[in-house]
Amino acid sequence: MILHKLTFAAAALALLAAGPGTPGPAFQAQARPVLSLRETLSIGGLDDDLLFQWTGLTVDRAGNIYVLDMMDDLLKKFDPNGKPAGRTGGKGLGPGEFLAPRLLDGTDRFLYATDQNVMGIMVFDHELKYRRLIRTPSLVSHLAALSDDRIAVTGLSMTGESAILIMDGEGKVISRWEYTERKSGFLQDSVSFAPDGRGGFLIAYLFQDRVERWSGPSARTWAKSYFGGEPVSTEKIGGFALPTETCFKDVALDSRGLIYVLGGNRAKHPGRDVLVLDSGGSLVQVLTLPEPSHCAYIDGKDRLYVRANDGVTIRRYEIRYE
Amino acid sequence: MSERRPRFRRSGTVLGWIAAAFLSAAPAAAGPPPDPERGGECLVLIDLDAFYCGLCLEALLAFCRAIPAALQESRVRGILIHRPPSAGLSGAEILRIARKKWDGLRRAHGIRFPVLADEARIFQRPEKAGASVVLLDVPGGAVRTFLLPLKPAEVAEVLRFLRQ
Repeated sequence: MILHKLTFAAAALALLAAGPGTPGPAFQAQARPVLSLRETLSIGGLDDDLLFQWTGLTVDRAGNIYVLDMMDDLLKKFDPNGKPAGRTGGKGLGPGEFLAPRLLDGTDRFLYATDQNVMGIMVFDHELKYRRLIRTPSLVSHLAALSDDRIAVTGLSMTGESAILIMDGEGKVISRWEYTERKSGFLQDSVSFAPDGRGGFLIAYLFQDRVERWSGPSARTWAKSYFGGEPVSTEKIGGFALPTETCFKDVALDSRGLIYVLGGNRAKHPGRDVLVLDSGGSLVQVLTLPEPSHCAYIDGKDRLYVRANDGVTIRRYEIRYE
Repeated sequence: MSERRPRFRRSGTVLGWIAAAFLSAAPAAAGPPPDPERGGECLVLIDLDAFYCGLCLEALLAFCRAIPAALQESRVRGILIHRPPSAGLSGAEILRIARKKWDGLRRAHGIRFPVLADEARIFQRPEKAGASVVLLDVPGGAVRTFLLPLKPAEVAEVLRFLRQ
């Protein structure tokens, strides 16, 4: 086991400013815990065949790690020590097969996986046995499993995403959380989101400098910007005005209620800076990962999972509160 | 300590949708085996970093499906383009990662053409595409480039060129 304590930047970021709807400054000097990360596991290296380019990841209560690999189209399982414990899937359009595996989440019973080309969510059990497909109204752009019978999704829309849909296990929409009324256009309102542990959601916009907390379908608790709030420029490609940079990549929550937002191109260290926020959205500190990641996943034991080696490695870190 | 649900959840990215406007299916191809004494040759410039976009990856796979295995083996060479050293990764490590990823992709999808790693980083990454096809048109005295995904007419042209 490699022990590697990461560097982190604890200084407040002068460039960060309060965003729309923010009553006060985004950052204030407060007595807060100082966080550090200690590497406790690494899966996949440069010379093995474990991972080629992983995308989605989830971890069960026992610490088993499930991951989708878009190079060989497999769903892979590793035990808590990182040893291979199974794989399934493969290239194809059949049940449980993938053409472009993307998102993954789980509950105590099921794993929920998406394919970029499939309008639905594939359900597997923890033994990697394919169960069924939950059909969705559109291609899924983001996913969070809330319980064995509740899934939250956002869908891809040519006119712009605007809502988180709460669906049951049959794909029936139970409720709809409209997080924006603007509909800025294709991709521009895309978000990463995570359940906030209080029945609400944390939302990080991928292409806007904006992080929000929602306590109900029409109840935004706060909204803040962290990189100056300037809009992301767009470029016309194929008839679409597409954003040219990312603001945030992912959002996660630990057991203490701290919020971890992975910064995109706007961050000082793109894909490496993890903004740690308190429950009100104020910055606690910035953790800087050694390598860029596309996601930041935190399991039930406050262990952070990120990408390394351009996607051929999973690194797991214990979050230490000092 | 606050209660938190769910205990575990997903991760991933949506950036792959960006190339949606470019996706087009390449037709399956068949035909006589290549004459080893004849035919054009082509390079496929491959930027593996771009394949976080699944549709960019699919464009390359569609090209591979369109080119018969015998033609891939005899007429096509891939060039792995990789980025310069960056945080935490040396140039040598990035090169090894690129080779590993390609090996995984090749085995999973039955890609037959051999690839070379551009150690000196001479080749440029294809602009606005994950890969491009470069026809070495010696008789025509030209190097012709197609960005993936190829349109059906472009696939047909590449096939004609490889079989000429």
